[in-house]
Parts: sequence; C-alpha cells; structure tokens
Amino acid sequence: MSETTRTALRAAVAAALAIVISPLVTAQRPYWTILIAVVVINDTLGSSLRKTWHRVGMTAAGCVAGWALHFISNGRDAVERSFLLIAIFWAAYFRKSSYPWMTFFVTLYVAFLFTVLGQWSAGLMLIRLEDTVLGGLIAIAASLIVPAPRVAQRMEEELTGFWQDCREQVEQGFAVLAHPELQDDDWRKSRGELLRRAEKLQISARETDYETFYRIRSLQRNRRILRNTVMLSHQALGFHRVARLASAGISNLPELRAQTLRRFELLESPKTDTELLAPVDWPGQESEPAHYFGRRIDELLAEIYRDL
Amino acid sequence: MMQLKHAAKTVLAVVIALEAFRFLHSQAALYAGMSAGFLMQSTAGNDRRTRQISMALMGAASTLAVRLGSELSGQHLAKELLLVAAAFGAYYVRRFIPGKAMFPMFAFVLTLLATVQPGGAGAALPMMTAVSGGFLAAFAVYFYLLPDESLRAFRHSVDLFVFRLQHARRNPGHEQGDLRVLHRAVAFEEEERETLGKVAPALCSQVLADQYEALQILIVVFDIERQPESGAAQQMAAQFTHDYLNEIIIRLEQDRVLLDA
Repeated sequence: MSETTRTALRAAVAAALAIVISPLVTAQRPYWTILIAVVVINDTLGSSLRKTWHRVGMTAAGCVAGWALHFISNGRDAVERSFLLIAIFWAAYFRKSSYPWMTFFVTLYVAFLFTVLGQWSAGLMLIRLEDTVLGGLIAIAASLIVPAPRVAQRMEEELTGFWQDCREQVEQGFAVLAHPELQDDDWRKSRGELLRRAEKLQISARETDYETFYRIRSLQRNRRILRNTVMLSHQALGFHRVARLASAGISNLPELRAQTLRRFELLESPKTDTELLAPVDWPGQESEPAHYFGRRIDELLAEIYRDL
Repeated sequence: MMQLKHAAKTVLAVVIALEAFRFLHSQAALYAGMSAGFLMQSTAGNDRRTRQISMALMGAASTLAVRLGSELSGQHLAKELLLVAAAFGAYYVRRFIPGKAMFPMFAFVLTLLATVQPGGAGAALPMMTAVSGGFLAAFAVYFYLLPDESLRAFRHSVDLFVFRLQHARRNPGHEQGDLRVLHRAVAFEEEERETLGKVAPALCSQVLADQYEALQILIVVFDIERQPESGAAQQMAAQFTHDYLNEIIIRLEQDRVLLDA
C-alpha cells in the first residue's frame, strides 16, 4: 500500500473514531473534534505529532487573543468585522510559511465569525480548545491504529547516505590537492545537491524531535549529531573549494587522506574504536586554508562519533 | 511580498463573495465567503492553465460536497459514511496534485459544515449557489483582477537575499535571524523555480545555485568566527571565505540585472 493510501486510511479511521467519540465527550460542537482529528493527520508520526502540538498550542493562544480582542471591540460591529478580515488576511499570509501562526489566525477568525453572527460567548472559546485537544488525541490514536512510519528511522538511513556524500566531497578535495591540474566539472552540481539534501535533513529533524520528545538525552544527542552533520557538509564543501585554490602543497597528504576517510568509515561501524577521538595532526603549510578546513572536518567527525 | 499580495487577494475575494450574497441569505453569504477564501488557496501546478484547472476542479468538488453534505444531513449513518469517505478522499487525491498540496482538505471542511448546518436537504440549493459564487469570486480575483507576477516576486526575493546577506556580514550577532530569512528566500524560490524555469531556466537555476553557495559560505564564516584563534590557517580560511562571499554577491547582482532584462 502506498504512503498516500495509508495516510488516507489513517484520516478515515480518525474521522470514524471522532464521529463515535466526540458526541460522548462534547455535546455542543462535535464537528470541531472531527475536523481537528482529520486535519492534523500527516504522512509520518513525527509530522502528525508536530502538527497536533502546534494546533493545540496555537489554538489556546488564539482563544486567549480572541477573547481579549472581543473585549476590546466592545460590541462595535465595524471593529469586529475588521478583526475578522485582518485574521483572514494573516491566516492566508502564513498558510505556506508557518502552520502555527496560520492556526492562531484561523482560531481568531473563527472567534470573530461567531461574534459577527451574534453567537459568541466566552465558553465557546473553551469548547473550541477542548475539542481541539480531543481531536488531536484521536489523530494520535489513529496514527497508532494505522501505523505511521517514524521519521527517526528514515533519518538514520538518510544520515548514513548524507555522510557518504560528504565523504565524496572530501575525497574529491584530496584528489584536487594531490593533482591540482585535475578537472572537476561536476562539482557545482554535486554541491547544489548536497546543500538541498542538508536543507531537507533539517526539516526531517524537526519532526524527529516530536517522536523522541520524552527521551530528553536522545533528543539532545540527535540534535547535536544533526547540527554537526550539517556543519560537516558545509566544511566538506569548503574543503573541496579551497583545494582548487591551494597555492602550496600539504605534506604527507596520503596519510591525512587515509586518516580522514577512516573516520568517515567508522561512522558506519559499531562503537569499538577510540582512535577517532584522538586529534589528527595536520602538518605542513600552516597558512593554507585547506589546512583549517581539513582539521575542522576531523573535529566534526570526532564529535559525531562521540554521540553515536 | 508575494505572500502579502496573496493574503490581500484572499481578503478581497472573501469580501466580494460576502457582499454578493449578503442580501440573499446570511448562511449563503457565509458559505460564499468561506469557499472564496478556501478556493484562493486551492491552486497547484506550474502554469496559469494548470492552476485554473485545479481551482475549477476544487470548485466543482466543493459544490458537490456541499450538496451531498446538506442532503444527507438528516440521515445519521449516511452522513457519517460520507464524512469518513470525504476524509479518505481528501488525503487520497493528493497523489494527483503536484507537491501533494493539502487543499482538498477544504472540500472536507465544507462537507463537514454542510452536514451540521440547519436547513437539511432544503438548504442544498442555496449552499451550492453560494459555493459556486465563491468560486467565481476567487477565480476572477486570482486570475484576472490581480494575477500573479512570479518573475517580479522572484526578483524581489533575490534582492531580499542579497540585502540580508550583506546585512549578515556587516552586522554580526544576528546570525539566526539572518539565516532564517535567507533560508526562507531560497525555499520560496525553490517553489517558484519550475514556474520561472519556463521563462529563463538557466538563469533561475544559476541564481539558486549561487544562493545555496552563499548560504553555505556564510555558515562557514559564522563557524570560523566562533572557533578559538588557531593560527594562520584559520585567518587564511576567514579571508578566503570573505573574499569568496564577495564574489558570489557580485555574481548575484549581475544575475539580478539579467533577470531585469
């Protein structure tokens, strides 16, 4: 079954659960629960949890703001209508860039829609919040019934592939240092690909945080690994770039190359080797920028290895 | 800028729809306003024609959904089955939409609201009329009154990128804020890339490649600044990255002139 079909199935289960549960828990507006249960469903567990958390948090904030603005508008029709349109404006503005802010303004415009319709009450905002929480819980339950893939699992595979790509950049850098005359026409393309992947990796990482939020140490460790991995890619690209401009040679290049590549290999093997933690000595021409990048790459590899 | 314009267009479409149905029926006006707002977000694809088709299909689906919702509102089991099917469908059809956009969800929202609105089957016709009216308002505003100017938005985004890049270099200490804006500009241009690729494919790819490179070098610059002093190699690396960043800025400014042309 494809991922889209599974997600659709999960949404159908969430809707069915909400239809059964919501009338038992909330009598006034059960459709809000159904709505939230369906809209926070996503392709992975991490993204569903993230969306649910944003939805609940920003609905609470929106309810408070809606209540305060309702108080300020003091029954003036023109002011209430203006607030409604302003909330629609900002909800549309944030639709693509920020789900939390979009949710906040959606809550505001729902509040003012009821105000304009003459159905507003302070209790209404509380019901909205309760229904949002219930809808979120139902969505999480649906994600367990029709299991959503975990981003953390996918991240591990992506990280391994990403380290290999970084390694390729470093290898090419060493090749250019050894043979400055070497033509390397594809480097712009491969660099662009690596940077795009780094961006995607950071997006996935945000979702992983929600899957491991209850394991604080693991969460911090994963964040460090990701931060160092992304920095590794930038330094690897920097190394590759400066290698092309190197004016003077670096002595014992083959040994340095072997040591650095060995560190990359160790990232994929079990933690049995402590040699990686010892600093690599980068001798030779001290004023060569490649020297700095090479040393920094080694430091980052050691930091990642320490966290694995 | 493009987001601001889109938000303003959404409000305009909602106001037009609300005003058009204001004297008919308050419920109808509400549906017209909602559907106009929703349909303004319901476009996908890289060209005007595909976007028109996606909005028209969503308009038709919403009208049908509202009809079914209000006609089945009095029948418990049928209504509930419809909602489950609509939830499934809203996610399933994403596979046919470029970028798996989430806008089919709006059809589910309208179905859900139609099943709980008072009036039952009798309200189906006014609601369908309202949703169709909302569609017309959204279509007219989106494609005719204030059409998108992607190239202009792309150029503006490049200007913003260069401005923030220079700001980041001259005013250290705001790393996170600057990087966030720069990342957002690149992400926006990535989204617009295919649309604009038809105008100047090589140039757009070149601009994006330069921006990715600038971002990467800037991150390295910040990293070098954070490291403790460690000698000549570090100074040389700092010098190299600064010079290289200057080179990219000059390149981006040249690209910007070409985009104008």
